[in-house]
Amino acid sequence: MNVVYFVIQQTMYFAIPLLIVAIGAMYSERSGVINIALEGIMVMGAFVGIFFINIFQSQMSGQTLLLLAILIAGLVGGVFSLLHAFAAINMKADQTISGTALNMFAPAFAIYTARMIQQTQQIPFQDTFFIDKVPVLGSIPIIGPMLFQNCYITTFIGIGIFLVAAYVIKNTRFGLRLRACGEHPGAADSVGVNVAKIRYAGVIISGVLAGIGGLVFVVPTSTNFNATVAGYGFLAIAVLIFGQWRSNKILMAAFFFGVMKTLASAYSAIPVLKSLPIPNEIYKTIPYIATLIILAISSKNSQAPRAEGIPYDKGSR
Amino acid sequence: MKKRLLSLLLAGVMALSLTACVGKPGGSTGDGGNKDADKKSGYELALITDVGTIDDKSFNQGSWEGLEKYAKENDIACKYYKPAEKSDEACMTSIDLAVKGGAKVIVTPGYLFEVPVLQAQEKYPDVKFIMIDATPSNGKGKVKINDNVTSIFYAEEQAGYIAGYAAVTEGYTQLGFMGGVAVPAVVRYGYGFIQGADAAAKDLGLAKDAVSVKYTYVGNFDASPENNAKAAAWYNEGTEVIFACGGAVGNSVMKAAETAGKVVIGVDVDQSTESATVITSAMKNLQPSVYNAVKSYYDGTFEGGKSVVLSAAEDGIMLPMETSKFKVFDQAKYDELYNGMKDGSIKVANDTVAADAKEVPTEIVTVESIK
Amino acid sequence: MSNKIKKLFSGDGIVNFSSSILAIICGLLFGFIILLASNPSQAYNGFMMILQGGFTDGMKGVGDVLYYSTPIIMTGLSVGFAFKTGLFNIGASGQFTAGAFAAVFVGVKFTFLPPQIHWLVALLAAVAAGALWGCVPGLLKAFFNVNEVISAIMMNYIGMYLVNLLIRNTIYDQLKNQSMAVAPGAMLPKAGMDKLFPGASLNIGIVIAVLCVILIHVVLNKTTFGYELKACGLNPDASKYAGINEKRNIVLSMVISGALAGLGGALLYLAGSGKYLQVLDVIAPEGFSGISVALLGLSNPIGILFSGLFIGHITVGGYNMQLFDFVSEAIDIIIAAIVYCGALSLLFKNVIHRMQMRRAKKAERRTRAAAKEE
Repeated sequence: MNVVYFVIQQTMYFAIPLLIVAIGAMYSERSGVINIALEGIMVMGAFVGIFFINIFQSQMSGQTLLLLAILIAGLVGGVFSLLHAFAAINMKADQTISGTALNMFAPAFAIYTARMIQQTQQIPFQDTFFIDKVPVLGSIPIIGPMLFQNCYITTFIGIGIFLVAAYVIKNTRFGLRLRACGEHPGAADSVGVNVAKIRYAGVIISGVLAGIGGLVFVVPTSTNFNATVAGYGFLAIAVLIFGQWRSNKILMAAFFFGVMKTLASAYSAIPVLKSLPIPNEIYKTIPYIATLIILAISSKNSQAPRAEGIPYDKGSR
Repeated sequence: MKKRLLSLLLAGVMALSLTACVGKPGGSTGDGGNKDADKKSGYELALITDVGTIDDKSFNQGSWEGLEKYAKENDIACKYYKPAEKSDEACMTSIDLAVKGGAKVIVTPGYLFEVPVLQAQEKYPDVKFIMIDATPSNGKGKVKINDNVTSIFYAEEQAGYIAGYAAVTEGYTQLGFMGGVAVPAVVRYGYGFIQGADAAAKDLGLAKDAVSVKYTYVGNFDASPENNAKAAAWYNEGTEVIFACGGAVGNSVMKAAETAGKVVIGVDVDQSTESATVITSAMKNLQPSVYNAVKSYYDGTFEGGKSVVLSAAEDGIMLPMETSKFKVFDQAKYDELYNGMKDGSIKVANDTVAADAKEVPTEIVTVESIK
Repeated sequence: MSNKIKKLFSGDGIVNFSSSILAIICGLLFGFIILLASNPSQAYNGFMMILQGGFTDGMKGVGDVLYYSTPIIMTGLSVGFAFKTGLFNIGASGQFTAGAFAAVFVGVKFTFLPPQIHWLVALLAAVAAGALWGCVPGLLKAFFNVNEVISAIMMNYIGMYLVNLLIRNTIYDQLKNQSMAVAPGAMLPKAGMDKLFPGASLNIGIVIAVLCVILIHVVLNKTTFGYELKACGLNPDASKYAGINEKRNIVLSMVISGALAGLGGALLYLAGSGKYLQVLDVIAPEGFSGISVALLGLSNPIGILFSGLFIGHITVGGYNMQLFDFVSEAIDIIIAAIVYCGALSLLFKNVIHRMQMRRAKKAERRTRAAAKEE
């Protein structure tokens, strides 16, 4: 049982950032804008967030500091994503290209700035955020050790974000309009929805969440930030597609990917897997192959937003 | 048309304002690097990093600290360069660049420079090269060291030995070794660690198989979520202390130790400042040896043309006892071991003793080698 | 009439060219501001170093530029070719890696081959491996209607992990955590380039790259096959009615695109510069550089050649900039800025184009009116 708890706790570290970023990506894509800049936005968010922690950790510590850093990471992610929104919506540029540019920019900028400011590339931080056991909740049998022991507050933030985001896109007027812009912007426009505005909102939400996701990814897994989020931005896109652009399925996809990531590195501690002659590269590859297969199977009735990636031009209505 | 141009301009402005707002956190200290630059003589002391940067928690960092210390004390401009890519050509180009920048002494940490320095020692006979963990060679075993090159190796197995001995003395029985990559220096640390643990177990009179060592190479020198999860898995299985022997891999292990409430043994440099979980570090004295080598150049006593192995006898390795968090293992015991190595009464086999960690001869310790 | 078309095209070329130049200027300007913000006293010198690029070091510097340009010209060509046929090949990284592995594998293992053809076989293996890797997104797109961007991203990661696994099990140098050295016969012949550019590790790689540029240029512009591919890219529906086999063309485009990227991998790792395949979980950056090169070269093979050389040039410059207390990552920032501006200037180009069309129409109307009066 101990091993099961351990795997679940580890999975959280991987799955929560994936979940947050993929939910963000969902907002962008369902508004009609492809955002492959998530990797870069995550790097930006993590970079500034960790830098913030690095500077203020002498004055503050614990959850306050982490929450502030999360806010800042989200803010930075949102601002950075404006570049993408501007290119994609106002300039009707190729969305993949401007996304690629942002992906190239972010790590270079993080390394450059870090090295110009503090001579070294890595930004260390002290982890004062770890929670051994949440009072009361941690003592619940089974669920306690799974969710409320050896965890970070980010886990609950992630789940909170998911619940709110899932509700908003399904049940609010804004959610409905957003989906309309992704499916049929012309129709949305004709009933008075400002397509550009809604799409801006979608991209900014994805930026904010990706920025937060970047920080949430780094904090539980390292003691410093080295200008990378290890391809999690791209993995989040895979999660989004694997989850067929629907929030509940994204939740499951994120945890599936998280489990695979955990197995890839921790298989030696799991009795059943230890004896199997499977190299860790195979575990690492499974999420990507699974996504390809899902894509191939589901493409005939793909759930992808229909107007995704197509700049909306009022004239062509 | 005008409108488009305007929006293009807007894009530029936005990009700018963005960086302005991002750059702020440390903006006040942004002028850190240009103090040295004002000196006209160029950068006499240069270090060329291998793949890592000078914050790799390993030999780049240790060597740089030694170089920088001497440079600061004597007011000499120093600088480090990073090759454009990981190839012999790029390393050679970096050496060219460093010489162009005015370098008289160039420190090159790592095996990456074996081939380039073989060339460079001929090309720049007036420049001195200090190689760490490498000798000039053509990559196929042919070694040639000119008079302007000194290559420094360390007896890492001795540092590993003391660390292993100390860990078992402290009462730990489930040990772990996580190396970066099975390069000779890392293997020496690891084999020494096993032997030291075995010796301590024998001295304590522990039963056979009472002490076990999990042994692996993670395949990189990076701090990554994967390494973190791997270490977390070991701790979860009962491992009490992990000797993290691969530069930044240690950061991942420390993170896992922090969350599991276990401890770590650091490597190469004193890593006690990295995390409270570091009980000690198996160090090679990079900083003083680079410092001394640079000093010997300015004193006119630079001894080139040879390769040296710095062991306990030359104070080439150590455990930083002041920053170590031992409860049982004390200075007296440390001195006893250290002196034993000095006078040869304690012999530690190095990486040539076995092809796999499992085959390192032990009497009590069992080694589980995980691929 | 034909004269008019010709004029229009030459005008088109100028527009394209000027929009690329504009993007470069914007990017460089942005880079200069970054330098200025981080270290005002040295910014000018550092910036000059970037502009001088390879020319600071004489023939060796030029040789270095050519060395760094070769692989990115190939990946640029790969991405650009796909662009022309309406596909976005973001998977050049994976194809590059696959090709590099195949080449090094043949280079290490097939020592029974005579040295005269050893390197050729290695190159062919790389072409095949790259083509195979490009083929998968192509097939998925053609037969399952899967967006090639997404599937290619997946293939990048699958390729990286798979190659790591293969290296570890076949050609692994455990002492250095990298691939073994290739046999001398598998390295690309120098063909006198080492004498022309002393000190730089140049070989016929750059010649092969230039040949590929010419080949792709001819295929795209002078053959029916190339015309069909482009037609698919411009208007898939129309080309379908014109009897062009769209599915076949998509797959072929991706195969050729992948083959080019794979060949690029071979040219880099068989260059004899002492570069080895690393067993690291890092996507090959050459693939992403290829995107910048292709964008900057407006997917035109000749343009790609020059933009590849340009990026190689400022890469060397950025590296030399270390002499002025700058970090070479500034170059990546500049390139990213150029690409971003490039994305915008695609539109800028369209605007100019539209204006020209309008002007041409107006002129036509005027002449017609004049003809009527007569």
